[in-house]
Amino acid sequence: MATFAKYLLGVWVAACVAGTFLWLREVPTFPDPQLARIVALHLPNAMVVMVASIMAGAFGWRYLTRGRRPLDDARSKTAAVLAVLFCLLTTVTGSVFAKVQWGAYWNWDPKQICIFILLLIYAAYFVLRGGIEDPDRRGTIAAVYVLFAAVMTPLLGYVVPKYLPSLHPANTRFDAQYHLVIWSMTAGLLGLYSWLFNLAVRQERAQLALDELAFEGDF
Amino acid sequence: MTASLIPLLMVALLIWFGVFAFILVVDRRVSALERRVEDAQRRLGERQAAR
Repeated sequence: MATFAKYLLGVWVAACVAGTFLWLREVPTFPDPQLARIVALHLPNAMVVMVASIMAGAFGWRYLTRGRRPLDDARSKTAAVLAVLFCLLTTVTGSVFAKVQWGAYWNWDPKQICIFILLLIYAAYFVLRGGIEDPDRRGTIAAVYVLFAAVMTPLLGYVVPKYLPSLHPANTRFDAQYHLVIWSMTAGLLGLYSWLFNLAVRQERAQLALDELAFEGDF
Repeated sequence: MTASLIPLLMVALLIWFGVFAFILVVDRRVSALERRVEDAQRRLGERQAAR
C-alpha cells in the first residue's frame, strides 16, 4: 500500500469516527437515543468479517487446487485471523448496544449465539493448525476446514438468524445520513483489512524466504 | 451535534490513532525485514554465480 494511501486511510477512518459521534442523529425510540450511533461501528465490522471469511475460504480453495503453495496457506490463515479480529470487534460493539437496549451484555439472542458458534469454529481452526506439525498436511486439512468455515459464516451471520425470533431489529430502515456513515466506515475498515492482510502476507513471504536462505546456509 | 459526546470522541480518536501508529511501525519493520531478505538473496546469488 502506498504511503499516501495509508495516511489517507488514517484520516478517512478518523473522519468516519468523528461523523459517527458528531454528525449522526440520535434515535428517540431507543432507551439511550445516543447509542443508535454504534450501528455505524457494529455493521461495518460485521461486513468485514464476511469479506475476510470468504477470502480465507477462497485462498484455502486456491491452496487445494493450485499446487499447494505455502503462501496461499499463509494468505488463508491471515484472512482467518482477521476474520476473528473483526468478529470480536463486532461482538464487543454489539454487546455494548445489547447492554443498553436489552439490559444485559449477553442475551443468548440467535444472532449472538450464531456469532459465538462462528468464533468457536475459528477457534477450532487455529487449534487444528496448531496440532499438525507437517506443513503440507496442515495446509491441506486447514484449507478444507476453512472452506467449511467460509460457508458457515454467511449461514450463521445472516441466514439462520433471519428465520428465528430475535431481539435484533428486523427490517431496520436507516436514513441517508446513517447510510453514508455506515458505508464510508465499511470502506475504511475494508481498507484497514487489506492493509493488515497485505502486511501479514509480506511478513509471511519474508519468513518463507528466510527459511529457504537458512536452508541454503546463508542466514 | 452533541457536546457531551466530544470527550468520548476524543477517546475513540486516540485509540484509532494509537492503532494506526502501531500498524505504521509494524509496516516499517516488515519493510526492513524484506530489505534484509533481498540483500541475503542477492549475496547468495552472487556467491552461486562465482562458483
